[in-house]
Amino acid sequence: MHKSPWFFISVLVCACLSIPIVTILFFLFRAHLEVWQYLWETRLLELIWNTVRLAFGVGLGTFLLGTSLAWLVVMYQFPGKNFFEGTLLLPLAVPGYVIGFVFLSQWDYTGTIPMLLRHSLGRDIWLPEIRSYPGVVLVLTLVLYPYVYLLSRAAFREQNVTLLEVAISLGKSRKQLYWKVALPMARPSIAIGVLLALMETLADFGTVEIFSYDTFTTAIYQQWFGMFNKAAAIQLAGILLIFTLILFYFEGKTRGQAKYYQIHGSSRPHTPFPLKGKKAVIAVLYPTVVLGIAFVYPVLVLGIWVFQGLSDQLDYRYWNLLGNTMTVAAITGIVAISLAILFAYGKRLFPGKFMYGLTRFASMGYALPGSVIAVGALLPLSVADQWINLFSESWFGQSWGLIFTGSMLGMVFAYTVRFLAVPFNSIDTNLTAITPTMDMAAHSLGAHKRRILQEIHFPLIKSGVITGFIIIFVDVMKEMPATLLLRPFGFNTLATRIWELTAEAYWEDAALPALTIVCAALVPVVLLIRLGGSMSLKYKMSAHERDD
Amino acid sequence: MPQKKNFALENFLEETILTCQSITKRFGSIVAVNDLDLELRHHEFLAILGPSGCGKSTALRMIAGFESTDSGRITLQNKQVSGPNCLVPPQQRNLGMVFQDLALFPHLSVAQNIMFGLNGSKETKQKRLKQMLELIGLQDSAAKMPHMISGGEQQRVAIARALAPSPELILLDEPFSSLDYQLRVQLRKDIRNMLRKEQVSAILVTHDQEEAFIFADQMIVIHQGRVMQKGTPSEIYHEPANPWVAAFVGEANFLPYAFGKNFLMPETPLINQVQSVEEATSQLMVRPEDISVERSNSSNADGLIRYIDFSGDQQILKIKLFPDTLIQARVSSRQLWNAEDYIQVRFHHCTLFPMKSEDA
Repeated sequence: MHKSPWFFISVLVCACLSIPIVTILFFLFRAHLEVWQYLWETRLLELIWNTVRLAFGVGLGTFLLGTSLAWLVVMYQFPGKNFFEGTLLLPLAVPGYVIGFVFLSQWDYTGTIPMLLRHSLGRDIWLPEIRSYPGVVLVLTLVLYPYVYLLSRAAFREQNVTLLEVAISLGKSRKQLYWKVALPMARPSIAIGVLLALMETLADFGTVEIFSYDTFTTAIYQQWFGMFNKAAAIQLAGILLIFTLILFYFEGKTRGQAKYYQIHGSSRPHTPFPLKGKKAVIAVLYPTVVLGIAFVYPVLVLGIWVFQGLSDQLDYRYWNLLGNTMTVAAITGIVAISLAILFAYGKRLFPGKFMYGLTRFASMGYALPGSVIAVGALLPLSVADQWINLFSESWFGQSWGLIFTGSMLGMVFAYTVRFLAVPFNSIDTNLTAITPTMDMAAHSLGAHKRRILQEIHFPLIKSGVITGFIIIFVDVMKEMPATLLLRPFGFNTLATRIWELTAEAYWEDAALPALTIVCAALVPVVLLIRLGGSMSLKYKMSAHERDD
Repeated sequence: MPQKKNFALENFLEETILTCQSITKRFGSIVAVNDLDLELRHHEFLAILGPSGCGKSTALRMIAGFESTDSGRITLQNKQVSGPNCLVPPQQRNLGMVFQDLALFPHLSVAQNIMFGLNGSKETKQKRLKQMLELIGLQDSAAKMPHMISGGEQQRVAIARALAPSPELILLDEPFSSLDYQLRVQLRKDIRNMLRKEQVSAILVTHDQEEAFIFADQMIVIHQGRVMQKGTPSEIYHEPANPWVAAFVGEANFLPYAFGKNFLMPETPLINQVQSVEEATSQLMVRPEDISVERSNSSNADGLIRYIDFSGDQQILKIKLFPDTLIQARVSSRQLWNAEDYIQVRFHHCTLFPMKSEDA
């Protein structure tokens, strides 16, 4: 097994992918005292406090919003239930920094709404300060609650109906059912959802930057580009890495536990309880308001701005921006898909702990903030560039330039590290659905390897490849901090352009790139919604068969 | 003279389709299959029976070519396919195989699944497909996808897919175990008939003795990689080679010979599986249905009834033989019994085993 080239290449690629994290850890453990002293004296405690309370606020917010909405759509029948079931996932398509700058532009002291109010009332009025801790928590909660919603909805749906009926037969009300039976049983799924939301919170750069709320990601950027203090930036990245590794550890642990909470048995679907009168009105209003604030309102504002300024903005600069973004995203997509196939087949060809650990390690990047990966990649890549230049100058008498840090290569590398998990998981899921016995059946029917790959494997993993590609494409489009840190001089993507424009409060000009990202991001979200729909349809069909 | 001899040899070879000569397979220190000999004739159905983990599936996979043999050789239709330095890949063995999880290709329709192994022109493929669909009675489901049909129908499709390329031999690896009981009973009859109609030979691997008895002409019982017994279903059931086989293939009461012989009648047939009958070192095995029970009074009773399991078509009596031996008998459900009834007991068929079995 160890002699197979496949195995060898997998190990090699995995080693390459681990470069950023190894770099950060290496520097974390041999930090100079003065760097720490410097950090301590500047704002380390403030950063930790800001990060912790942000995590707490977003964790609580996403938990409350996500689980309550999931419970509502699973357990109750009300007008528009089917509509809300899917559309409540739509905010996933709007990056935090987009909602952030729309809110800011509208509700800041000099924003549209307060100005309008002051003007019409003819006097100054008090409005809550949006550029604040609650403001950041609100925005991130609105963007990230779908993680909790999606996972707890699945958990509530899979819950054995009989268990709930037992609770009712023992005299519990529906409210008690939620707190005493459903919620505790769904605990692992909810915890995973909240932990994912927290990882995104730690990784977030754009939102907190716009709200001037300093966290590790913004501090890393300031140290790197503002102060040119790379040592401090790496230390900060190291601390942020430790935070995320803690979350990563708990997430893995919870996933392990989640298995024991799945009780299989009756596959009867829930019969939603019909709501009438006042309760039905509240049931409709609640998701309407959430969806309105988190999706409809920001998209509408963006739409209006784009409509107003379209003739000015839709010029070569925009097309250039779009071209850059799509090129980087497509290259990353292709690279990541190839590596994902390499690892997924590696896992199939060499079943065992080693390969499993390797693939798990290679797909760990999804937990790491883009800033951490970018900082961890920048240092070794610039060292590599220096070496290559030394080498080229001494051997060929001319410099080859900055191959990694001066081109898209560095970005593609960092993106691949960060997002490999997405296509890997989607391909791996499809590939494991092809049981070894299917290969055997094809063999025993006279098929050769090539025919099995062509006629069995390829059609069955195709959907995984496409889904993986779409998601990673959109993720790269949205990614802000890694792009900012790694982009070659003068290279802009949609996301970095938004950052530049919003930093100068050119809100209206940022609308077109922002709306472009939202539209692209809608593709995987709509896919997700439709998948949920078709799955429930299949579920109903099998339940129907049972009745016959 | 030599000519005649050759003719006889040819005749003989034509009859056997598969021969396994002392095949062995090890996984690390575990011997999965130990020295298995096996011979299968044309149109014969063989069942390999054993508890889970006994190596029966490994044996089947060696025959199919998914596993190599560590020693021994396998000959299929007079051609060596496995042996020292020889392993013909599965796709060249012309075998049909049906798997425990069926392994239908989920992205192909019923018809495409069945046609997967077919070669030749479109007409011949269509013709064969039609035959197969008729055989399994799913003419209307050709265009359906596997997930749209029931478990029993999926089972039939898996069989049809394996049968479609007209293999000489079909291998069935616990094909019924994923189905519920009633469906299983119905399907194993149907499938046996389908295989008979297609005139193939078949090997069924199973842990269910009832399934093996119903399906097979010949049986092999395997335990921990070793062959315990070969024979027809009736030989296996009525003349088990050792106590382990006796207990594995059905209900069995074991009694020390010295005690048990009291319940024999002069004409009771005794299958002898010991070298010499010695009271101290032998034990009797009697099946519950080979015990007859009669009411008696307390003075000349052999024992009494402890309790009764009535199941409609029969009843199982749990009997305490005096002084203190528990056995069970299966009797007609017409005669009603009560707990604590005094009874006399007679054995009508017995097997004699050594007291300590070699394989225990």
